[in-house]
Amino acid sequence: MVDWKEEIRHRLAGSNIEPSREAEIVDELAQHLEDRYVELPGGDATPEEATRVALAELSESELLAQELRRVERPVMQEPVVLGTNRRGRGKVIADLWQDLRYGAQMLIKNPGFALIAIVTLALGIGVNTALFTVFDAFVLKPLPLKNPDRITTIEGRTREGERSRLFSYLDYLDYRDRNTAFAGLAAWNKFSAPLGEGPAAIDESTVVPSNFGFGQIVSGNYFSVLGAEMALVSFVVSRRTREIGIRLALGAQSSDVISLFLRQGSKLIAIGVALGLGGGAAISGLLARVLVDISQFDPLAFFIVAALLAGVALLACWVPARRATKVDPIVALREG
Amino acid sequence: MLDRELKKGSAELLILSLVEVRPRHGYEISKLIEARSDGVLKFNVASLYPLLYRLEKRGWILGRWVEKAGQRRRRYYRLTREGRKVLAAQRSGWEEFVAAINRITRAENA
Repeated sequence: MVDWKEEIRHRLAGSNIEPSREAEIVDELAQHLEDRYVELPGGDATPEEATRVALAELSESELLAQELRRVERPVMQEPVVLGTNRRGRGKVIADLWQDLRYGAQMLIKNPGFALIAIVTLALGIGVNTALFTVFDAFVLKPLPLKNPDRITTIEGRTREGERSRLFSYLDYLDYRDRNTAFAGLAAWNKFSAPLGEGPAAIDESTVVPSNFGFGQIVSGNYFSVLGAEMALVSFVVSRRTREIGIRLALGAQSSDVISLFLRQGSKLIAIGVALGLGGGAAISGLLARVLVDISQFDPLAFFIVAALLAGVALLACWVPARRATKVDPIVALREG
Repeated sequence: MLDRELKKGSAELLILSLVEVRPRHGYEISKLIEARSDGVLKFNVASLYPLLYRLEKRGWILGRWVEKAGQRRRRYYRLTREGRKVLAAQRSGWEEFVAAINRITRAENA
């Protein structure tokens, strides 16, 4: 015999009635079909015929699900948590489809809200993408060398045990020719020289003569060893790399340079956050008119957002600054 | 078979009338409607039960699961006090309506 309950359940799929209520309905309708099946006229009907007649009761089952949905005021108002398997397969897809339709209807109903939501999302995604692009360029991507992870520097130690990177040129030649550990050995050294003849102009904040130049002497195999093939190593650093190089060359510590950048950056950040929070207040003011339960100035939200933005922005200053201080001043100046 | 809209409009009255005297279950109601109308009116599951639930939601009828000896449990619907008032009002309304229709159609035929 046919499992009436299964038949009914199948037809109620997607009607989204609260589960315990649905079970009750299934019980009741199954009893009805069972009665129908048992009480067929004359008693001379074959079981197949009886089944067919009973199932005919379920014709217009679309109407049944639809009507029941209307009567039972399904649990639709409660938010459906995506991915919760409430009952059976197929249900998830039905729920999802319903959610999507519901969402679309709401958006069409409130075009103002829809616009604000879309613009907010677009801004958020845009800002995130931009920030990540920067982060990716400075932090994640390796330097544009052939095997950046296999490049290292060789240090020596003085008799006193201090570390030193200085080798005589002859030492370098010996190391280079007898080297078996590395694919190649290149050498470099810094030099500095005044450029031109004019009086040294003093930059007010840096005390660096503007006509003072720095350079780097490198061994002939320098580029081939690095795998940079005659293209100048293009360190991804801001235009101010040159300035940083000068500061470092004059004895500034990395921390000085970084803190300088952070100080300058923080001014911009302060302005940016102020503007952003102003805009945010305006947007949430609009939202407050459309939505219930949103206050224009949620102090917690504003504090968290401001702190988060400022943190990310500071990071965006700190990372390139720090990278810049790692650059050899000579290289920096050559680029400038 | 009567026109669908007409059937819909009068269906509430039919059900309320059928559970007036004593509680009945859904299958019994559908059978009575079919038998007493000589097969002119037929309610299948899809049309009957949503209507029952709607009437119950409005508080006009009340369903109870009842288990009788030797039978599976069934849901019996009985008329509530409010349902009784509604039934009275609908019944007189229906009678007026039918009488009015009759007066018109008879006048045309006469």
